[in-house]
This record gives sequence, structure tokens and C-alpha cells, in this order.
Amino acid sequence: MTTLAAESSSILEQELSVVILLAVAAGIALLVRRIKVPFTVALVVVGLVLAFFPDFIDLDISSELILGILVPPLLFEAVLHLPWPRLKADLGPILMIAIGGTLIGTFLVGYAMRDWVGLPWLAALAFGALISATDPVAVIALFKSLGVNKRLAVLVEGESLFNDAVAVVIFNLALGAAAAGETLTWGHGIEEFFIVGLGGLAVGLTLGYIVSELILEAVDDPLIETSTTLALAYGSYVVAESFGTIFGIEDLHLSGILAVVAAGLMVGNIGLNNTSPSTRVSLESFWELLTFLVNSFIFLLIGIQIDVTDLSTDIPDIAIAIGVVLVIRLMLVYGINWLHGLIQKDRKVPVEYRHVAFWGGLRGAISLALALTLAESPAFTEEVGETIKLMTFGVVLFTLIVQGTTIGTLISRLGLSGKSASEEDQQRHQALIYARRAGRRELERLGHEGVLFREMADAMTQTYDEQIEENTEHLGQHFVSHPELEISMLVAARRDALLAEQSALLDLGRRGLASSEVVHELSVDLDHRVAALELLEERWESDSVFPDVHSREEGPH
Amino acid sequence: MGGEVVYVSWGGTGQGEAVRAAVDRAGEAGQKLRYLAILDDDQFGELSPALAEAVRSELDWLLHAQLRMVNLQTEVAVQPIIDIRQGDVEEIIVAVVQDAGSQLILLGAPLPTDPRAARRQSIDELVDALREQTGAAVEIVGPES
Repeated sequence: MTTLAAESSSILEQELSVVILLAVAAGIALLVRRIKVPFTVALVVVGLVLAFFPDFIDLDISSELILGILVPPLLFEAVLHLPWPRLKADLGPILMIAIGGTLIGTFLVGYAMRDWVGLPWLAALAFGALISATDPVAVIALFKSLGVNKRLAVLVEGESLFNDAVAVVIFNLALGAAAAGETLTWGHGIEEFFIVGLGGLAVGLTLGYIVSELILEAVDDPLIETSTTLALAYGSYVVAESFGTIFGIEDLHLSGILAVVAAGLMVGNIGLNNTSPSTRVSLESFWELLTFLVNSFIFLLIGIQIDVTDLSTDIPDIAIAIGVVLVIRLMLVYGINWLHGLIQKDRKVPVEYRHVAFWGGLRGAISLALALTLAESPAFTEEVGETIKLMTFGVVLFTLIVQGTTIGTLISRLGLSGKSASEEDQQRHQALIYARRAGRRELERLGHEGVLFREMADAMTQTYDEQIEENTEHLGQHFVSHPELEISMLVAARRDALLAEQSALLDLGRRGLASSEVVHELSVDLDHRVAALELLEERWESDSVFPDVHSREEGPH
Repeated sequence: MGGEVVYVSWGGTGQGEAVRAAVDRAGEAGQKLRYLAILDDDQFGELSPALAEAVRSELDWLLHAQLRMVNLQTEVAVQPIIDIRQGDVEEIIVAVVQDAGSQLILLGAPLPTDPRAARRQSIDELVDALREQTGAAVEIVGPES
């Protein structure tokens, strides 16, 4: 009875902690609307403060919790909205930096840490791997709010998805070798790397295909389909990580992260096309909510985990780690993109994007989880584990707080923010016309219904008319001075019109005026149109990023 | 000059200013205008059939809207023929210009930065190649032209 009561009390305490974290996250989400700080950065800062009250939050934070429970849904949701044609178009630079860059970076950081911090080689290598995993959550959220070119978002997000997997594989190899008291040989390392990586991809692609083509195609039920995608996100991770146990092959682990990425890509690019529009809306809403919750937990937990007073005990090593990580990231981002530019000239990554890729290479949950794994592992001494943990926390904190709060300014200074002053001015006038027309309609209604006497309603609507006329005139002149805005407005208006068509179709279906088959067929066509518009817009955007040739005329000779 | 003026944009929609300039140019020459929009293989080469069809259809929709807008804004009203094709940029331009017997090719600026979509190392090289193969005059029209 006593044990049961103690367990129940512990569960209640953990539940209370979760409730507190949820409330804190909601409060921060409200707050960041008023202050210009990325949501995730604000979460970390509040987490740092919460860490001073250890009794306040009673949660067992382990690497398994982060890697096994929190990371899979985040990765799954990130790839769910990553169109394959767009990813494929930039697969060259993404894989070069995610695989080549992570491998080279791991070794360079490893050498520096061995020589300058005095870590054993395999521990230094493990640190090099874990600190190579970038976490783009804060940066991607910023991209969305600043209206940054989608190609840049795909490059940053794509790199992160694949380098997470590469980092985990190298980390596990180094940790495994240290635990077994062996050295890590190149041959063994490369062999393992391919088995684990390709195996993980195969598991994810297979499970993703089954769910997309069999379940999502055959069933039209938002609850079943949403639950299935949730099961797939976790299932692909678990099956890949436990592949050896499931199929009786001793010590065989495949990459769970790559399995989740592959499964998410299948569902996002095939599965979602097999669902009805209403299911798709439910499914996307569910994943949006889950991502918000998981991100909130992860970044609060990062803050809670980092004890600032502990960090102060090892400032020299942390400073070395931050410096080394920054310098090596700089070398890799510029070096590899330069090399890629020579190989694939038609998809050269613009210099401005390289600046953002360098400074936007924040570190987060994966680095933290792997550092905790290493600190808990008997492979290294407690002192080594603690040093690596503190250096990781230091780097994560620096990148999130220093780089995370300044990357927005960098994007704006580089002119990559989609919303230029002229575009903002255009949107302001459009918004005023839209709002004032709504106000006018309301006054007209009140006048018509006799709530306002006619003369008053007429006088007020005429005042609105004058204002609307002024805004419309200004907008017309605006396009004459800024012709470059014309296409983006045309595309934005077309997208809005397509979404309105989609909404009207759903409404028709709900009211029973069109069969679900007809609604589905037309909605799929609209989905394709929206995707097509994005492709056209992306091509147009990528062309308009650069200065261009003008003013030449050539006649036949 | 006989036939029609061929205005070319590739890699998505053309810039409004370039389209207006092309319409004016065709109006001045008293010729028909063919709006040749090329979906280059680099970006649109390997789409699923449904998505490829949607891309063509959306591009057609946008170009019609854009041309209607240009016609409403300019004094010269021309009714261009919209011609959307997919494949190698240079080959398509040459084929269309030869079929139409055009003597004037207008390339819509800003040109895609990547002239390699047309297998050339620079826009100048592309312009020279088009001139040589078609015998037509080649102009770049659009912002700052």
C-alpha cells in the first residue's frame, strides 16, 4: 500500500510539473508576441530561471526522454511539410554539408578538444559528433515570421534533418568503441555508418509507404489517420532502433532519426495526397499542436537542465568549445558551399544564404540529449562526462541566446527578409482597405436595419469611402514605384483565391450539396495547384535574389 | 520584320515591367506577340504528371491575369498568344522562333541568374547563340533596360 501510495504521489507530482510547464509555455507564447525574441529562446531563458527552483519542477529528464519521446514527433512534423521536389532540388548542397560537413567537423572538433582541452580521443570525437547536430527550430520560426525565401528554409532545415542522423551514428560509434575498450577504425566506422544510415532510411521508407499507400488511402477517418501517423512517427523510430532485437540480429541498431525522417517524407509527399481535405486539416492541426507542446517542453527542459552556476566552474573549456565550434562551422559552411558551387553551378548557394547558414547553426535538443547520454555512460570517467556536459550546455546556450537573438537582424541586414519596407507599406494599405471596407459594411448594415438613422449612416460611410479611395490610389501609385511587388502580389492573391475555393468546397461537402468523392477529387486538384504555385513562386524568388543583366541589345550581324 | 515578336521568360512568371515593355515593343512594331514561358528542366523536370499539369495550368492562369492587367494599364492593347513549354530553354526558343518566322526575340529581365538552364556560361553567350541560330535580333527588356 505504501509503495502504491508513493508511486501515485510521484505520478501526481510529475503531472503537476507538466501542467506548470504547459502554463509557463503558454504564458511565454503570449509574451513573445509583444517582445521581439524567438519563442524557443524565451523558453530557454525562463527554463534557466526555473532551474534555480529544483523542487518546483519534478521531472526525470533523461536522454531517452528527449531522444525517444520528444525528438521523433518534432522531426516527423518538420518533414511532413517539406515537399520532395524542393528538397530534391537542393539535395546536393544539403547532403554535402550534412554528411561531409558533419564528418569533417566531428574530426576537426575532436582533434581540437583532444589537444586543447585534454579529452581522451574517443570522448573528444563523441563531443565533436554531438555538437555537430544543428537545431533549426528557432531559426525556421524566424524565417516564417520574416517571410524569408523558402529555398533558404529548405537548405537550413534539410541540413539539420540529415546531420542529426549522421551525428548520432558517429556518436554511438565513438561511445560504443570507448565502452568496449576498443579503438575506432576507419573501415569499421564507414561500414557501420552505411548499415545504420541506409538501414534506418529503409525502415522509414517501408513503414511510411505502408501507412501512406495502404492506410491513408483506404481509410477516410480523421481520428484513425491521425493516430496512424502518430504511431508511425514513434513506430519508425522504435523499429529502427530495436531492429536487431525484433529480428534476432545481435547488436544491430539502425538510425531511428533517419527512419522518422524517411517516414515523414513519405507521408508528407504521398500520404497526405491520399487523405480527404477535412482529414488533412485535422491531421495538420494535430501535428501543429503536438509540435508546439513538444517544442515547449524541450526548450524549457534545456533551460532547466543547464545550471548556470555549474557553467561558471568551467569557463575556459566552454570558451574554447564555443570558439572551436564557431570557427569550424564557419570553415565548413563557406568551404563546402564553395566546393558545391564548383560542382553544381546551377544550384549554387548564394553568399547571403551562407552567412545565414553559418550564424543560424544553432544547437539544441539532440546535442543536449547526447551529452546527457555520454555523462550517464560508464565509457568515460565522471570528470570527462561532466566536462563534455558543461561544454555542450555552454555551446547550446551561446548559440541559442547570442546567435538566436541576432540572426533576425542579420537576415534583415542581408536583405533576405521577404518583407521589405516597400512590401510592408503595400501590406499596410491593403490591410487598411480591407479593414475600412469591413467598417463601412457594418455601418451600412446598421443604417439599413434602422439602428442608425439614415443620414448618420450615409455621412459615416461616405467618410469611409474617402479614406478607402485614398488608400486605393496610394496602392496604385505604389505599384508604379515598386513594380517588383506586382508578381508577388499576384501570386499571393492567387493563393488566397485557391484557399477560398478549397474552403468553399469543404463547405459544400459539409452541407451535403456535393458528394465526398467530388469534393475529394476537386480538393486534390486544388492541392496540386497550391503546390504548383509554390514551385513557380520559389523559382521566381530564387531568380530575384541576385542582381542581373540589363540594358543590352544585340542585332543580327 | 515579319511574323511575330517572341517574348521569352523562363523559370516561372515574367516580371510585370518586362511584359509591359514587350507589349509596347510589339505594339510599336505592329506585330503579334507570342509570350513564350519556358519551364526549365532544372526546376520542373521531374515532377509527377499531376503536379506538372498543375504547374502548367497555374502558370497559364497567372500569365493570362498578368496580361489582362497589362492591357488594362497600357494604351497599347495586344492579345498575345501564350505558349508554355517545358524542356531545354535554348532549343525551345530556337524552334519556336523558326516556326513563327520571328525576327525579334525579347528576353524578359531580370533573367534567371542561371544561364546554364540554357546550357550556356553567360547570358551574352546565350544571346549570341540565339542570334546565330535564328538570325533574329535579340533584346533584353524589363527593369532598367
